[in-house]
Amino acid sequence: MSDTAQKTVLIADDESHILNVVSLKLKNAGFRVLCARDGNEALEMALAEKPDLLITDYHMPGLNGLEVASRLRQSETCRNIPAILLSARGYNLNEADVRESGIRMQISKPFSPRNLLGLVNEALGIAA
Amino acid sequence: MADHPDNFASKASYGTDSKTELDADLCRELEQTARQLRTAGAWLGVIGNAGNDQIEIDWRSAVVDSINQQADDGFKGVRWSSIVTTERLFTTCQLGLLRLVVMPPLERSSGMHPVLAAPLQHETAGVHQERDMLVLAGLVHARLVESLRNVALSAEVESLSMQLGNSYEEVSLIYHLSGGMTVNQQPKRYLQDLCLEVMQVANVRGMGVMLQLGAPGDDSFEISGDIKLPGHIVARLGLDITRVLREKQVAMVINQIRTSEFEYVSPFVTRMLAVPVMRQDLLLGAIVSFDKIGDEFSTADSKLLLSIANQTGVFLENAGLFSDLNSLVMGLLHSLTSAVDAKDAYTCGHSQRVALLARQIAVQAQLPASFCERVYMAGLLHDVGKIGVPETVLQKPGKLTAEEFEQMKDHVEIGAKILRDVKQVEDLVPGVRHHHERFDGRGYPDRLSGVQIPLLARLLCLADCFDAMTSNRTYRKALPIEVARMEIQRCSGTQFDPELADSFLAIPVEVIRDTITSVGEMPIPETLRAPAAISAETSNIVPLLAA
Repeated sequence: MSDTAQKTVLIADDESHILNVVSLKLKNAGFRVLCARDGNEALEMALAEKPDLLITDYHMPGLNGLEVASRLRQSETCRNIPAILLSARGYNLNEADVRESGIRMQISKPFSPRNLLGLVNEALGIAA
Repeated sequence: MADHPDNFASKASYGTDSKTELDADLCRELEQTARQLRTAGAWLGVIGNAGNDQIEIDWRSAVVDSINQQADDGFKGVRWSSIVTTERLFTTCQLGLLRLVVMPPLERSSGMHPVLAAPLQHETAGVHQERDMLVLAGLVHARLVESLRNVALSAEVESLSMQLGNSYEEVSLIYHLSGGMTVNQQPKRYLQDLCLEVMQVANVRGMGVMLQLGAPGDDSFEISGDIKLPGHIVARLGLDITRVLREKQVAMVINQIRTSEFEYVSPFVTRMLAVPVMRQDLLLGAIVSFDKIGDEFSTADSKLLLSIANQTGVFLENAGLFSDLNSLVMGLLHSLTSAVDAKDAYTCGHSQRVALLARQIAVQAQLPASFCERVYMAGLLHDVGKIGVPETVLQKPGKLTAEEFEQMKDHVEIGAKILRDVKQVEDLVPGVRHHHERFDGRGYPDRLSGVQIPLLARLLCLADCFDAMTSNRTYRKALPIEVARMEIQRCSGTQFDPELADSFLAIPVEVIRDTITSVGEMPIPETLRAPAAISAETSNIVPLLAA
């Protein structure tokens, strides 16, 4: 708890049930959680709050998940924020585009919140 | 925070025994509102009926401090009915140096009334004060009602999110499991993986899986996880669960094992959930969860386990059908090659040996495992075209005439024609057609050379020639293995693909000797033995056809 207490995770998804489930899971694990409902809000919040990790949906109004991640790469202060992409199962994203955006982790919906928490810990270098 | 005078949780009670506990959310909202009111010179508290028309007070200590004993004493002897006239109206009254507005009780406040209090002002200002306090109390009350509703709603959202999160886990588990159901996977392996996954999601201490129920000496009840049962208990439990599930054919939930018929496992297990794995009406087995951590098994648990059991049933049925089909195809192939080999007593077992040798070379050359299995099949079928060659030619002792040799050469094209229209083996046709081509281009039927010759055909050629040399023929005795190997070496690069010849020569002589001597009664190939758990009745096809 103590080493995750200060970590902030920003979640961006236009589906509120995903936001609710993921933020509850992460809050219960001791993280501070911020929620954004579209790509533009996600980018603004990320630039302002400088979270330790971004979890972003691919399909969102405004910017999509890869665009949000790419824009963060261009920011001096946010370029090293790791990101996890949520994508729909069976929707094949171009691997090169994903790599280009700097996103190294993906999980496809429907995902297991438990597995997502595992990825979050991995991304932040927290031993499970 | 603990020292703050507005802390309702550390309430200063009036009266002898305060029985009423305030809801934690209500306390928090009251404290927050009280803090703001204090800046306006007013206090907020709650009072209720302690019984016998006496007043019970839950009053923040600040009021007690400020108004002092006088106010405190002021409540003594005051009758509850004189303050609260009706449940729904705001009532004003005067007590000692305080003016009070008693509000209707809030939800979750156990009948306690919020009370707004302020020091009594000069008499001339009194009328205004009373009116202002009523307005303020109305706003305060509305705010408290609204906050409590919000608190309740967020609690509900949280609870729904929790449930939804569990559903996500379940859906993702079922996705994952169905993804792992490939027909060529071993059912047992599949079920072991399944147990590990389910244990995490269902939050149970152990899982058990039973298959092939009722078989004599059945020890297939396998338990994984943190449950250790002695062998005889496992056996008894397996039989009992089977009996109950066979009768009921629905989930069996036991949350009190001590008072159930499974009392004998109570030293090891406290709760149990068992569901049947069915194929149509036939009980194939059971999946059992032991000891849900920190809770009883619910209908949601049994539903999840049932849907997994249903999927498992479908998976086992498919695996059974796949195994049956595989057995059938392989059985037909074996009978076909037996028919070919039977035309010539001297070549008995030749197809089988070529199949084994060719596969061995392919494995040695580190070709993919799936390809090695196709090589085996092609080996079995490579001479199938000999069905169309007269027996007088096949069995002729001594040298063939030019015309007879042409007839003999036809077997590769006849074989290709026979197999061309069988979907399961059409990929083997090039191997069959070209297995008499030579690496230097002097073979038949198309005089292909080098890598123009399909890899399959180059493999078959090598295995075919080697077995021909080491078998007795109508026209000569078998050559010793060592001599035949030297012959392969000598013809490497002319007759044979030199890389494959090297692979072949790298196989130890004893391995090759074991392989060619193992063929006699035509063994059942490994691929047919695979999912033995499933269909005892249909797997008999193979030995029958092969015999």
